[in-house]
Amino acid sequence: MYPYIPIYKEIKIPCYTLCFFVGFVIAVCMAMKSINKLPPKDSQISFPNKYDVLFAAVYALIGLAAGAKIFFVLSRLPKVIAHPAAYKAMWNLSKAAALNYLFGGLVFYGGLLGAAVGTYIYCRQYKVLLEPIVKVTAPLIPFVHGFGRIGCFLGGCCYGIEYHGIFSVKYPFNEMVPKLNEVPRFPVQLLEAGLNFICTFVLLSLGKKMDSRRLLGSYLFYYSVTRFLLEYLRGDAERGVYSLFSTSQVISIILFPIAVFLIVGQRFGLKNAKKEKADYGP
Amino acid sequence: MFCENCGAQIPDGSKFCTSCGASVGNANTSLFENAIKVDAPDPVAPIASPAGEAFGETSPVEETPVVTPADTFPGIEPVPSSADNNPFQNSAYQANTYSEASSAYQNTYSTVNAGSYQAPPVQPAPYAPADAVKNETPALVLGIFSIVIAVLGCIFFGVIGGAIAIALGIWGIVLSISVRKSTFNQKGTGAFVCSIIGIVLGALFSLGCSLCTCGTGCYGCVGTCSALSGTAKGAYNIYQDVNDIYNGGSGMYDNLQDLEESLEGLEDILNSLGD
Repeated sequence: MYPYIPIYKEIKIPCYTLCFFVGFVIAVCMAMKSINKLPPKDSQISFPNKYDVLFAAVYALIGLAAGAKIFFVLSRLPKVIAHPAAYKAMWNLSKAAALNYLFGGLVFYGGLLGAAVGTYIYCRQYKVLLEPIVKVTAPLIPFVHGFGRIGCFLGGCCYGIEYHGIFSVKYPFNEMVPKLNEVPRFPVQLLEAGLNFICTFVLLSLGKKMDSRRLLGSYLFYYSVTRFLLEYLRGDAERGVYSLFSTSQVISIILFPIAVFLIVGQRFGLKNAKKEKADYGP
Repeated sequence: MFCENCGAQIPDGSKFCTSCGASVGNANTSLFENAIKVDAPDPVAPIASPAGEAFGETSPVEETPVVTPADTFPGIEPVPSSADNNPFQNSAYQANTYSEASSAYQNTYSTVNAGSYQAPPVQPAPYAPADAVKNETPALVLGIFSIVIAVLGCIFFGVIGGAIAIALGIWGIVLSISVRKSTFNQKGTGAFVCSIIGIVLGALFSLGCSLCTCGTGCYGCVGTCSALSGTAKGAYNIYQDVNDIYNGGSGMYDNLQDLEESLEGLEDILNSLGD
């Protein structure tokens, strides 16, 4: 739609990045406010305060960028390895284009994993409890992601299948993605953003009763199911990477049992679920 | 037997009168007068500290003063105030005071009420690497450099300047976080802010859309050196030409084998054209 906001001559702000950062900053402020509402029962000195949430968010952001980029490279690597001569030809023709093919993109699941790794590294390095941070930030993951999907819609890099019914969208011409403009399309990104915001609201309500493990499991359950189904409404997916399913659908299939295990695992001996409830917070 | 103070009848062998409280054999004092005469130590004063915010809004040490047991139990030695022993005048180490106060609880109450009072467990002090304060200047330098390189480097060196700015900014942020944690958020704010600005500017000015899928270039084309961005723009034009040659490709990203054939065809055409 409007991939850039032009500022001065060639300097343009990409809408995708802008939307994501706006959502991220709002989410960090909300997390910093709500961490104080988890009063520790005993005065556990290693309980995270709002600055710990801020620093963990910084670590998570670094991890998110690194993880998303690494996953993208890993998703493009099989093709390059399968056709080395073609990649070499592209490299000789234009180094920048070849680099862009291999490195120019992001994968959300890689970002999610990288953010989790970044938060874990921060908590290990400064010996701060991880569970309260997870409990506060798990409902905000779909919040940030919803903003990212709105940015995706504005950027036009991800789009839906051809669709002529109600709510169909006709994109203006986008030189990056010529296919976008040809037909009216289904605004699957906006649908995904709306579902994400509803999920945020639900998780914020559930968070009062659930411990962090089940909260995270609920989010993963919601996201793996919706991503798998919505992938069929996407017109840009790299089908055929793994025969029947796209990369994101394969990851959703892997995450679904993990989500179920996180939710019901305490009946099968998953430790610490009760202890977390007793240690802090209502 | 009879109390010598008030004359009430009391059981034989009792040490205090059950009516007036006077000790048997000491007609002029009562239990409470004995207690008052013992010197009461200064209670451990709650320390108001600006760094106390770092530990959240509430803390039992700040709000409830320590009750000295000598007020109610005679014969107990007064506990020396641990506040005077605190070597950290800016009270950044409130945790040490708390742990000393809680061990004071344990020392005093255990002699009187052994087993009936559970002292709160001594909590570990928050982890704050003491030698991290030396990172303060390097962190600030890194933060400022990342901003400078983001702006100037991207003008002259395109994407590479942005990548360097982001790398320096990340390094500066990690160092500044260690400074802030070790000084309980007293120092290192400038470095933190500068590093964040450097990263944002680096990302904005150079990597920009290549973070997503852009093939039309970066923002290094503002200034003199637009080689990389120009190449990226040129590359996209080549893509479109190759697609036209291939006549109907749905995008070379889907089928590298077709691209290989198309590029060989393009090379033949270029060779046949001469220089």
